[in-house]
Amino acid sequence: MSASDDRARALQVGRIARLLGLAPGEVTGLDGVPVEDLRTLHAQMTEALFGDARAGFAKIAGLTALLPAAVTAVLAERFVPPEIAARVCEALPPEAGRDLVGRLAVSYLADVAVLLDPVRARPVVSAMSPARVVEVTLELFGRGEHPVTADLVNAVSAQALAACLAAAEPHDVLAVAPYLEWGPALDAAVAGLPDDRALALAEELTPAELADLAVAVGPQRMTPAVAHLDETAYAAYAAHLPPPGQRQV
Amino acid sequence: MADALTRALGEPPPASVAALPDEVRDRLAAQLSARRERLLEEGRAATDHALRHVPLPVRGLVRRTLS
Repeated sequence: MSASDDRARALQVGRIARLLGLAPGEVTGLDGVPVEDLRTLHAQMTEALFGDARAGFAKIAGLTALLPAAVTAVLAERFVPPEIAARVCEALPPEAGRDLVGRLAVSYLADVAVLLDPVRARPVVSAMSPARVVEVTLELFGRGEHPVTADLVNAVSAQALAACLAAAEPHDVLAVAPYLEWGPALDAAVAGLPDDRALALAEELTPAELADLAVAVGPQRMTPAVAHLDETAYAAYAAHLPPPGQRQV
Repeated sequence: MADALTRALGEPPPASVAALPDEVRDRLAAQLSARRERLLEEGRAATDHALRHVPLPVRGLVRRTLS
């Protein structure tokens, strides 16, 4: 079993623990369960916890059609616990969701984001404005919630993804990279990384950290950053890279 | 008779989860049930508290929505 599988499993167990209001270490015995089955178990638990209240959530979500989004946002922050707000967001039409999340306080939105089911919430998350996604992403980075942030940015638009990558600090990029789902949007975001951000990666990460990042994202995607290394630093970076057969991406 | 986890979920879990030792499934069922109880308590408390802070012009609408 690969380290990538282990990380994916740990991420899913963490989501289950969060859903249950527990620390990840309190959910044990799931080591041999496939990642897809952990996703299914998370969905079943979500339904068991919130399914009966779905009609109520839909009513709260319906307030967005009756009240200005600014009023609904104030109401949500004042009396909708983040667990319920997350379920509401998942039930919202994308346009209404974008309008609502655009008015919520970033700290509250981050509370909600860590509780979102990434599959159910994808329509709303993908409709969020790039600027809002960046704000939430930076808030989550500040909380050390890198796996959850990966869940979020895996669902955002290509434009928002590029904006997040350009705004992230180098050590946050290093921490979140192993959890990202690689696809055309992420490849495009990496390829379009502004040169000053590529330079920041080269300057702020040690050669060993750059090699760790290369293992997570694939050495071929490191070209913009390592192009800024001098000969000595590049040699140190290359020395830390594992042999090609042992790389994950 | 369905096991505790199946009852707590309302449906059978994936086969790989159903194959876990009884103690693991029972613990998951207990954790899920405890969470549901806590959420019910928190929801009641949050609604009672919140309605006191909802602006008067929309309080009736919100109360009807939540009832």
